[in-house]
Amino acid sequence: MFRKFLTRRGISYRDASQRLRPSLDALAFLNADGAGFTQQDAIDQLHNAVHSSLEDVQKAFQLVFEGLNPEANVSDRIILDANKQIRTEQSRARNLVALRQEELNRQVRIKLENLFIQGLVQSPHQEPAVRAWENLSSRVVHRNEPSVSEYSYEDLGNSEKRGKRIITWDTETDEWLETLCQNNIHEIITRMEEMIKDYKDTWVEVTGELRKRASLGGLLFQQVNDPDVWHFESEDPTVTNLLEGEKALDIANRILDRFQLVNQDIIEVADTVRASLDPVPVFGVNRVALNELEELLALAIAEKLRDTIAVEAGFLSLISNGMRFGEELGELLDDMRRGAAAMEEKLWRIGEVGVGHVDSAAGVGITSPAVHDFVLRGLGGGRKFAAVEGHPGNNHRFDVQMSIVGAPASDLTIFREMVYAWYSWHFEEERGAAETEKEWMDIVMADCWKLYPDIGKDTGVRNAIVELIDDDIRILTRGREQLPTRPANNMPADLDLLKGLWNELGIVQTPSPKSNGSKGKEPANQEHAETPED
Amino acid sequence: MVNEVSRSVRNTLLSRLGSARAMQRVASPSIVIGLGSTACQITQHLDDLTSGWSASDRKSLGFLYLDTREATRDEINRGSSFIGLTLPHFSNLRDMRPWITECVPELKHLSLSREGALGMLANAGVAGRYNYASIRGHIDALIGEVCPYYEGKTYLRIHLVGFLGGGTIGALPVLLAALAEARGTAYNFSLVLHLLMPQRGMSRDPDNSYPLQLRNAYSIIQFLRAITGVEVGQGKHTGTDTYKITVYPEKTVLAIGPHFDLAIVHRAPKDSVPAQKAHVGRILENLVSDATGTGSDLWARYHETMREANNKTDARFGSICSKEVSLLDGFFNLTARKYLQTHWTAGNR
Repeated sequence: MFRKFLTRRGISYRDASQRLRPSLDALAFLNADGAGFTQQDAIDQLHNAVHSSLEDVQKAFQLVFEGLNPEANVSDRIILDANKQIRTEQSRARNLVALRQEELNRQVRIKLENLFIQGLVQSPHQEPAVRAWENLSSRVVHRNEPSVSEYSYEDLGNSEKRGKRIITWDTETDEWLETLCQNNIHEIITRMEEMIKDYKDTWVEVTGELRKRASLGGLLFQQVNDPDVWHFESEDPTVTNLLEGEKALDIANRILDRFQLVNQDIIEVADTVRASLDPVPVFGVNRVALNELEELLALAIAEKLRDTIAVEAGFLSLISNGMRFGEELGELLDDMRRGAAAMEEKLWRIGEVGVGHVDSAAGVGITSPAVHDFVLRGLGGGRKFAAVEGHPGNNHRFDVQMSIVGAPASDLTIFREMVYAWYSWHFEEERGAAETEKEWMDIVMADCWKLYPDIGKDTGVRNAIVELIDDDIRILTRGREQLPTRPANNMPADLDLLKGLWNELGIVQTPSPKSNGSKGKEPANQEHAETPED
Repeated sequence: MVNEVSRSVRNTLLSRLGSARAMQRVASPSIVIGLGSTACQITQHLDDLTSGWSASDRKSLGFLYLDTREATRDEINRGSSFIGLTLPHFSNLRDMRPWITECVPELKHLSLSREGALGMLANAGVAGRYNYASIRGHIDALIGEVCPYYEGKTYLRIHLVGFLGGGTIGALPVLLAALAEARGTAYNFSLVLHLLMPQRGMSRDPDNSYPLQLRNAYSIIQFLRAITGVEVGQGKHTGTDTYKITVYPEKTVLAIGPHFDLAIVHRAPKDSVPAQKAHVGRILENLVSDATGTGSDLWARYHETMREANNKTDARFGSICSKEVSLLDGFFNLTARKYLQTHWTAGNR
């Protein structure tokens, strides 16, 4: 009788299945637009999330009871199996709700962190909306799990008794399942309330600190309102900032006047920042530092700013300020062209043979046809100019590039320096101090492997390199610029020593060398001098 | 206690934002190979720059790092392909093998240091020959990765970056031989060499190491001229674009040309390593992004110009110089901070 009374007043999984409404988002009440939900709605959403994880277990219980149909004969073995199955399903149910609990706790944390960041961007001066959910646990009671009977053949062997006992068994499992479900909801809510407490404590600290930073005299205030800070430099000195100082600040204000983050943007910003920080929490004891959070928020919002400008206005119309803008742009492009050309000339002097030029200018977000004219004028005559066209993902820069292709290496500005360095090596240190040709030859032969990537006689490329160098040196000695020579030391001339070396190596066959001093083999030198076309 | 977020968090955020702004940048898959410490730094810089690109673009990019400095392995992204151009202890190697004597008369002349090639071309030449199989394996794997055959992609671009004045550039003939072998497979590729010139102001010891850098640069430039097949002088050793090298343990590799399509000579606009990294990295980024902006424009112009080129040059050297005017990221970041500041001031309640 007492047992019946309890059962009638108890809770039921089946009843809950009738009452609960399925929802797509189990934690919709924690969304930024979740203000319309009541506390009961929140509990029901959580309840539904846990409840749905136990549907299979409930079906399994039903199958067990159907197998014990009062109209059929049952053996001792079947009853033993039924008991075992009930216990197995109970164990599975515990595992399932534990998993769901873990997942929901994680989701709650994510939702709260997103909400926290959204709140910082959207409504930093308001009380956090999560306060509505800080006392939910008082509405869900933690209960002791009811016992589920275990029956023997004596209890169920008789079909009349069995019918009644199966009904009781069914009621017991139903109540047990719902108790398990509600206890888990209680645990989830308790954990959520702890998070909300952390959330609120952090909110008070963070928003207070942010107000201080953002108000007159605060660090952030000074930073964003000081024109001197509005200077941006790239590590690459060929990249110039278009706007700086007062002008940059003025343009920023103009951008912000028309800039508005819509709800979807704020959700994306918050989610990106939160996901990037993971596993560092946004609120709580071990949370991210405020300046870091500010930096990440700025980075994410900066990306939205870029998109807005591209879509709404176009880069040029935004920065165009005053009547002279067109001329300024032309001057700017001309300056860029000259800058690129100057760099190019540091690599190559203008060669006598024609070299192919590839020039390009890319400016983005440009809609005015007049800009084409400015660019053409800016690039100067004789230069091919490719295009000024829109490039959707790269919309805040102009780029002027110049290329030379097919140019000879001898036109490189450091070409002579390279040849001299290579040539001089042969007459430096102990090699230069050698007193006889043989001594010099021996030292150089022993060390000259240091000059080449390989020294193979039949393989590798050393011999081809030497043949090319020989050709370079012939051209240079024919020119007005001579290779450096040492004072006479009664040895053959440096150039002849070199040729002797190559002769010895079997690479370039040359006549015998002459002396550095007055004594020497003039004819050989004359031959060399007289055959400049060799 | 309050945690400080690391640079990696910042990079993760930028990468997430980059993925959100999906836009195709890469039309032809590309592999960027850094040879030597300076080149590896630049390649790493590009690797970082592209981390925010869309997944399909990233999939079309591969990075390979080769250096004689073991420390470079720790400086590059974890998970990137790195080949240490080092040798086992000399006592474990048989001296006077062809793959050694092709570079240096005796093994003892070389340094056992794992701190780089010390400006000696032969150090990298021998180490490159010793690691040839690994180089080939990595190249084949990377090509297969960025150019999935089952997707019908068989053409790619390879960008090889190297500092001409260093010692590690001595492995260039080996690397080009490996690429020549790879070219003989089902894939075809254009090879662009990015050659960084020595600059006196960037040399640690302008009086001693700069002349050494100039010597190395000259030697390698002549090597590149030679392998274009130019014929000069008596033409005894020039006039062919094919060369042979012997690699460990005793395999002869016949490197058949043409070996490269364009050699771009780079000079940093300022004598500083960060400027060099940013500048060369930017030009590389533009060339790799061949589906958009100046990258696509430049490639179109390049092919057009090469068709028109009728000069007497024997190697396809070139340079790209650029100047860019932009708002820079800092402007938008500060504008975003200004947005936050106005929202956070008490007066905005």
